[in-house]
Formats: sequence, C-alpha cells, structure tokens
Amino acid sequence: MYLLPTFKYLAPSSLEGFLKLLDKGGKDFKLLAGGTDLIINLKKEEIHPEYVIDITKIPDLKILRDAGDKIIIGSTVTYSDLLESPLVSKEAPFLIEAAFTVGAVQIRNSGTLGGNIANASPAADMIPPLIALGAKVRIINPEQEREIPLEELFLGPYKTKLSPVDLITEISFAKIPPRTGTCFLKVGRRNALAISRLSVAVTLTLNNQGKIQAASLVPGAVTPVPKRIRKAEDLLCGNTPGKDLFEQAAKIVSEEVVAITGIRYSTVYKEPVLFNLVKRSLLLAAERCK
Amino acid sequence: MRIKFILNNKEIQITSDPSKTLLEVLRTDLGLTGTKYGCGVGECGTCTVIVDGRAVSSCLTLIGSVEGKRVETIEGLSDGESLHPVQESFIKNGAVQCGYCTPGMVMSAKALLDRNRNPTEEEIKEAIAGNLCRCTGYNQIIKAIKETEY
Repeated sequence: MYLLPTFKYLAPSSLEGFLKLLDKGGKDFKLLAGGTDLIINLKKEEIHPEYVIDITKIPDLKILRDAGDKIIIGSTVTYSDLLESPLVSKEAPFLIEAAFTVGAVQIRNSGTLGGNIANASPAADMIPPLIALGAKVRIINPEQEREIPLEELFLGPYKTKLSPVDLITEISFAKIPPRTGTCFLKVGRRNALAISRLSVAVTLTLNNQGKIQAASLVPGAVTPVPKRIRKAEDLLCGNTPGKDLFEQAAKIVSEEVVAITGIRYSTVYKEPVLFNLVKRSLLLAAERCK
Repeated sequence: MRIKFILNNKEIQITSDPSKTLLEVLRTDLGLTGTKYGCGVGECGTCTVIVDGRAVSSCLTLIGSVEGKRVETIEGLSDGESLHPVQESFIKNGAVQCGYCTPGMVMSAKALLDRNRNPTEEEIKEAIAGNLCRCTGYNQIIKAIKETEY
C-alpha cells in the first residue's frame, strides 16, 4: 500500500502570501497544483520535499477570462473547468478535444493546466495544442515577473526552464482568427484513462481565396520536447487544402520526428501512425475552417 | 494541523498530520471504511468521493486541500433507513458482484446524476470510465445508473 512520506503543508490564499513564503527562503518544497502527478511521485518516494505548497487556494490562479484579443487561463484551472467553458469551446475548440482525452473524470476534476505544463511530461496532452496556439506562460518568483512562449519552456522530458522558486500564474493565447479550424487527435493504448502514445494538434487558417494563410502543427509524445514542425507548416501555407497536400505535410512531420528521435524499436509503428494522424487532423481542421 | 470541512452534510473539525490523503483520514481516523483503497495512484476509482460536487480520487487528495470544502462519501448517501436511489437501482439491477468497486461506482454515478438527471449511455460510460470493475459487470452497472429514479 502506498503511503505518503512526511512533509509540511502550506496553503497560501493569495499570490502575495505565496511570494512571502518563498521570500523566507531556503525551503525545500514542491508545488501542488492538482496532485494527480505530485501525490503519485511523493508516494513512490521519487521526491522528498520538506514542504508541499498547495497553490489551489489562490483565487488569482483560477481565472479563465476573455481579455479582448486573447484568452487568459489561470494555472490551477482544471481540465473540467476548461471542458465547461463556452469561451474555450468557441475560441480554441481543440483544447476541449485535448482536455477530454486526459485521464478520467476524477483526474480531470483535480488535474490542472499549469500542472500539466510544469510537470512537462512528453505525453502531456494540453501542451501540443497550446504551442500550436502560440501560447505564452506568465511566471513569477520573488524577484521578477516574466512571460515566455510556452514552446521555449521545455528543456527535455520532465525538464523545464522553471527555477525552483518560479510559479506559472497564467497561460494566454490569441483568439483564433476567422476561418480557422483546429483539431487534436490522440492515440493511446486504450480508450479510457490512456496516456498518449502519439498525439497531434493542428490549426489551419484560410484566406478569402480559400488558400492556407497560416498553419501550426505540433506532434505530441513523440519528441523529447514538444515543438512545431515549421517545415511542414511552410509547405501548407499558400496552398489550397487537400488530401495530397496534407499527405506531403504528414510525410514531412514523420520524417522530421524520426530525424529528431532516430530510429527506435517503435519507429516502424509510430511513423505510419503519425503520418495518418497528421493527415486526418489536417483534413478535419480544414473541414472546420468553414 | 487542524482542518475544518463538511463531511456528509455535517461540519467537522479534525486534527491531522498534513501528510495524509483524504482516503487515509476517512478510513483510518474517521472509521469510514466504505471508501476503498485500490491502486493508490488514481487509476482504479474505488476511492472516489465527491468534493464540492465533483468526483475525485480521495487517494490523490491531500487532507489539507479539503479545508472548507464539502465532502460526500458512500456513508452519506443513505439516511440510515432508506437507501439512496442510486443504491436502490444497483440492488435492483444486480449491479454488485464482489462489491469492491461499488462505493466508487455509486459515487461516480451520483456525481453524474447530480449534474445531469437523464444521462445518455455514452455519458454514463464516460462518467464511470475511471472506475474499474474487475468482475466486469459493467452492463448491469450502466443499466442501474440509467434506471435510477432520481
């Protein structure tokens, strides 16, 4: 039976309170944003912090709002909060598709967007669509506040540029322009509670002539660090959406991923699956542009 | 640390080591053993309780995080004499085999029905996707939730 190791628990009720806790300095702590990864890591004794700082009692981190040309989402907004948001559903529909594939209800009710990002699992479901949206993360620590593109946050599997005293407060992204279609598709080992084996997030924006004006394409769970495949995006831009074009783009994505990861035992499986997933997601996104 | 929360409609105050999960406190400190320990890592659903109206895994919930919240466990469903409609329906439909998943299943069903009185079969399946039944009696469970008179 898994039991938790001993730690001290702190639950600041404001950002100021949180920063003051850190200011006292020298504390060995971990942030609790939802617990669906942290509690497991604690139980498995992979980490032994002296303090667990619960950030879910900070109201500023729970916002989800329309800021004119962009959407701002607080870091402790849960997957269920996202799924129930008409704003997200309208302005970034593939975030809903991604959130729906996470765990089961119990996990979606506890797990948070900021937790998914900070944990930095290569299989994190929310990261590919957020990178495809060009999302930025706002980070504070006792010294400064800064904003960086999400795509630049990751250093490797479970590794980020976040320092121990950094806290992600918000994730923001521009609303999708008119005539934009988005799509997130995922392949897991099973239907329910599946951890991504492969996923892909795409956005396509058409111009008045029906040609692709902008595209973003981010495969998930296949590279150590999630990133846009710009070579494939460049191929799409300026062209008319169609099966042949999408197959060419899908081929580039597969090749680029293999170039990053090298040939592995799973490549014979992953390469064709990724090809088809990219093709299918582009076809769906193109349909949704109308 | 001292924690105050509402447990099955009664406000309670407890003193607990903060490095405990809600599940441990319920079972060991409060003697409410209806909620089961299964996997301990949020995959099996047998420890499901309802916190502020949402089904969560109590094995992944720190006791400190329920401060000020409303917690419902399987013990809070029946008023002592009469059973909750979900429980009635589980009995009527033979939706219980070994029984180990049942408290979690019932709590997931209640959380669903509290929000959606007439769920579709798909919605029911989605709501219990995080609750494993290794006797594999899912058909009866789905039927029981569908036929709950709520």
